[in-house]
Amino acid sequence: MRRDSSGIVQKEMADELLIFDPIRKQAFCLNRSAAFVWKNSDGQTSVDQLACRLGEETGTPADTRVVEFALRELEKDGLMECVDLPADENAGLDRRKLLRKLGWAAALLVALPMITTVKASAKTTTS
Amino acid sequence: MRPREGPETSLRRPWQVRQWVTAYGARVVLRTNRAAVMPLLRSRLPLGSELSFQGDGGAPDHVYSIVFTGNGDQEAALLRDGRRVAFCRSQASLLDIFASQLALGVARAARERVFLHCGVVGWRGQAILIPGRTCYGKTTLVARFLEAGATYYSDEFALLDSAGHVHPYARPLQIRRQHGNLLQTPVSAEALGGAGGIGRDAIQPVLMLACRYRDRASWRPTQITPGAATLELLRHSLSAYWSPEAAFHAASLTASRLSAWRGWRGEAQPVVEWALRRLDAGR
Repeated sequence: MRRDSSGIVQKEMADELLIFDPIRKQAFCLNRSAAFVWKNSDGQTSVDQLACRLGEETGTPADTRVVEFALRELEKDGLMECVDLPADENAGLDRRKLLRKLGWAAALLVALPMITTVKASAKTTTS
Repeated sequence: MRPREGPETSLRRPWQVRQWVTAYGARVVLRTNRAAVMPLLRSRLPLGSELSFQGDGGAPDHVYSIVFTGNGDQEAALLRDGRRVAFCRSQASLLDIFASQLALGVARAARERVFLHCGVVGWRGQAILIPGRTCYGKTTLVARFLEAGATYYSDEFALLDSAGHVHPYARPLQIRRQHGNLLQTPVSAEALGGAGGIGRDAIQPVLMLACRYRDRASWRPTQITPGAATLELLRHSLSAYWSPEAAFHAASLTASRLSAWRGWRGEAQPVVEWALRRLDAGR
């Protein structure tokens, strides 16, 4: 487990990456490809380069739309700020629609970036 | 976290008696304007509670006030941190709601353990976690496990320590006679006739069943990843709001060492047989 300067805690679990934001009291689980994009987005690497590396990592065709999808998801969850992400017709797609648009086989759905999250709430009940 | 001094203090209630309670590192104050009620309140404290008449110098995490209104012997309001959480017309319902609310307050404020909404049973020295909200069927499943010889740990809370072990919280099971019915009957684990007894030691969770009852559903669970299991445990954590880092640490550590499954269930028996077969086979 490691913590960055903003207090964000990261923990690798098998292929996944858990991220915990203590300020927002929110935990995120990034699957393999979302974690790859998160870890390799350094402000220097281009979307094209990331797409090639992600394709090699996951054994899927290199496609910038997959990386842009991951970046949008990360930005939506407040995990990343993407200043120069192009606005295009793929914005707002979910994973299944993106899969169809990419023309990939259904079995490759798991290779698309996915982020799940839980936010702690002060409201709880007993049984 | 500090309790709000709210409306009841502005009414200048004459508190006849005040009681500090500590449990799992949580500090709570009870107070009432009718001294004769305090012994009844003490009899309904959560497991692990210790009494004192003064705090340890720190502010309480919660203040519970029981205010009898003067309209008859029975009518009373229960306030937590100055906010009314219930108004009861009978002593029995007051005590039931008080016990439930206090257990919840302790679970949220506990510093020594991470509390999860979870049924827990032991099988050959290893724990099975059954996370779930109210009416998910946790207690029914726990009861069937006990009848099959499992050791009772809890039908309500899993108490995790920093090493990811689960500790017993063996209150009597709160059994609903009908699914969805809010009325509960306390039943001791021994009364269910199992041979597994009640857990005393902290044990390692090795199996998690994130399941929910649905009429006529068949048990066809899917395995979930350690990351998803961590989020599932956090979703049911009462400590996640007040002690988020401790909850994250305990949940991720626990999830990294167990096999986690999710699905709908109908009758409890097939789930019990499936789970015990897995554990006996070392999976």
